[in-house]
Amino acid sequence: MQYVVMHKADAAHEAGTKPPTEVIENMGRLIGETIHNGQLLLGAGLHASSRRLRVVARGGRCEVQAGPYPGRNELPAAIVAIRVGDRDEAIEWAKRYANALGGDAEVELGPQVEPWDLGKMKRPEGKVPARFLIVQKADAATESGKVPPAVRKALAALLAAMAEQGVLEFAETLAPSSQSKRLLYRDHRRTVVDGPFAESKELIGGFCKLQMRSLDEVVEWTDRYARILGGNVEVDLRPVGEPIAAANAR
Amino acid sequence: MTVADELRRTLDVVFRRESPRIVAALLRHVRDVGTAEQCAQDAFVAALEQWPTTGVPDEPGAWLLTAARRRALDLRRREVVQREHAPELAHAARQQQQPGAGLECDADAVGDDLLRLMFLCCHPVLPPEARSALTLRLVAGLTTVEIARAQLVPVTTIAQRLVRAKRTLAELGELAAPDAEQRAGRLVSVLEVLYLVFNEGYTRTAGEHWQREELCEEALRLGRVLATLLPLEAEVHGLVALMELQASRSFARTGPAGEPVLLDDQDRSRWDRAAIRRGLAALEAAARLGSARGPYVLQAELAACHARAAVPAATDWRRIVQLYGELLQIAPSPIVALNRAVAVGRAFGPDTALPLVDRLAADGVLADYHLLPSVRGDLLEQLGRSSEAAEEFTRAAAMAANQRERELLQRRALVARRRAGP
Repeated sequence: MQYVVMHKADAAHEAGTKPPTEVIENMGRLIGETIHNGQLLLGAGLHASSRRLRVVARGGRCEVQAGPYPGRNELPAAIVAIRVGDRDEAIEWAKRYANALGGDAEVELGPQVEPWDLGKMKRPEGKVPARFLIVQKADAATESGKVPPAVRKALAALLAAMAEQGVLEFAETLAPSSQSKRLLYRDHRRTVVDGPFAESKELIGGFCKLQMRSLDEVVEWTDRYARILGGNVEVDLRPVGEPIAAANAR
Repeated sequence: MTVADELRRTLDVVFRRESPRIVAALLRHVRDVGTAEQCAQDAFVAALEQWPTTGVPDEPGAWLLTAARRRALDLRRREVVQREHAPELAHAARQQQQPGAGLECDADAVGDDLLRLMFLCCHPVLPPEARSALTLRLVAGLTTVEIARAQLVPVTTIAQRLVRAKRTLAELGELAAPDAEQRAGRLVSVLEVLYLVFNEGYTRTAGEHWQREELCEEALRLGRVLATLLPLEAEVHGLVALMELQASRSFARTGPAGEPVLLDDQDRSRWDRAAIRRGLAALEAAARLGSARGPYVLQAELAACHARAAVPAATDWRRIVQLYGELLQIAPSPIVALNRAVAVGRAFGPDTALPLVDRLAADGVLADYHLLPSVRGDLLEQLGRSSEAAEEFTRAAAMAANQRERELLQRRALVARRRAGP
């Protein structure tokens, strides 16, 4: 079973504060153990919204809104990671992505947190490829599991183009939020809310994809994760959906 | 949900995650895996009794390990008493009294223990089906029922297999990890078991289901674990790469009705890019070690040729021919020779490949293998010899054990016959 565990940004993250050393160390230990158990499939983090962009397509026109911004419709339907030369190139791909979704759509674009941003290694010399996440926002179509065939086709073509040009790192589709759970931690106490989530105003902080045998196992892992972060955090558990091109083809 | 339910679920999860490590660590104290497993179970029962009042400990894994060790030492003391070996008893007691005994969590020691357990479960003295069942039970921590369900075998059969395997190992009495000399051979067996489990999940040779994810995922997970334990073994990375790259096509290899979709016809945008990335990274890790390419590395290289091609036309078939050639040299097999012939057909044309396939057919070793007539049919069709092709596809369909595959071949036979005309 593959799950995407997605944590939300809090005020400290938005302020760009580096987490305390102890938190980084304990998190490193948990992640290390997860790698050692062969359970970590993927992980990526986003910077504060001041470094992100929203690309909004409305009636064939594409508008780019620069951060910082408060969260509004922040429920993701898919996450696509790309590796490009610079930010402008990333924006071009994000626009193509938004357009592929047809008519009205919104995607978020942000640089990925790199190991050197956390002080884990020195930034490599020379020109480093820029890695971005394109976060496709959920809409009625993705949430109901009825994505129009034309959109599916356009997305498949776009992903193929990304792959062909060596830009595509990975593409994850998330199952509709009706199949998801939201874990709200307040002072280390967990409340579980079952999807669907009509309102999702918390910005995405980052996510990891885990291979676990049961939902219970994912919840227990997330408990430990939340404990390390201080016990006040919102985390969504999203089952992995069918790959983008084929989402809801059946 | 009540607090007790909640606790029980936490305990289940923790036990599942920790039991392989506990069993592995206990092999330092007990004589056989069966006893180690029993001690781990006893620790689980103890937790079930105590945690409701004490709460879940901060380090639940360490708590379980300590409890299991106490139990193992108790057992040993009892045995020792029976044999009146006082010095050993004193030693055992001293060990137990040491403050914090059993709480040390040396990552290297954990790794060594786990590795020893893996080697033991894949011991060549066991029949292959027992090796995979035991590995899934003790190293992956699956229950007997789960193994039975995944392997499509009755629960009682699996239970018997496990009992017999544990007895065999107890009689063997060999708990030490293989020495450097034995290790290469034993590692081959471990890799074989993992790949067997993976393939069992990936393709059923008979029956309705084309793949069962659980086994694939467990094999992959254990492969990743093994790669962190033996980072200098190129073949381990090779196997991980091979499994990741094959698994990356999971979604694309079946159509809406569950029918198989051939590589060329797969929608490559459905391939799991993250899995491909992990696969290629594992392959790089193998290449960095600089040793001669073994069979898993070569097979992974082959899979990588497809993974790197965004469209089928971009596939480097010449490289594939060369890789199959290398593979044939270190692991001669008629099936590899057949695959090489397919690649030759793609790289140099069907007329170059057909004589190779004819030679294999003349050898007769692949007489029962449905892919031989299937490949031959494919080449004949490309050469415009449609009625001969239809015959071959029909023959292949009759030999295929998997129903989905059979249907695919029957359809191809039909198309070829139509093309051949009346």
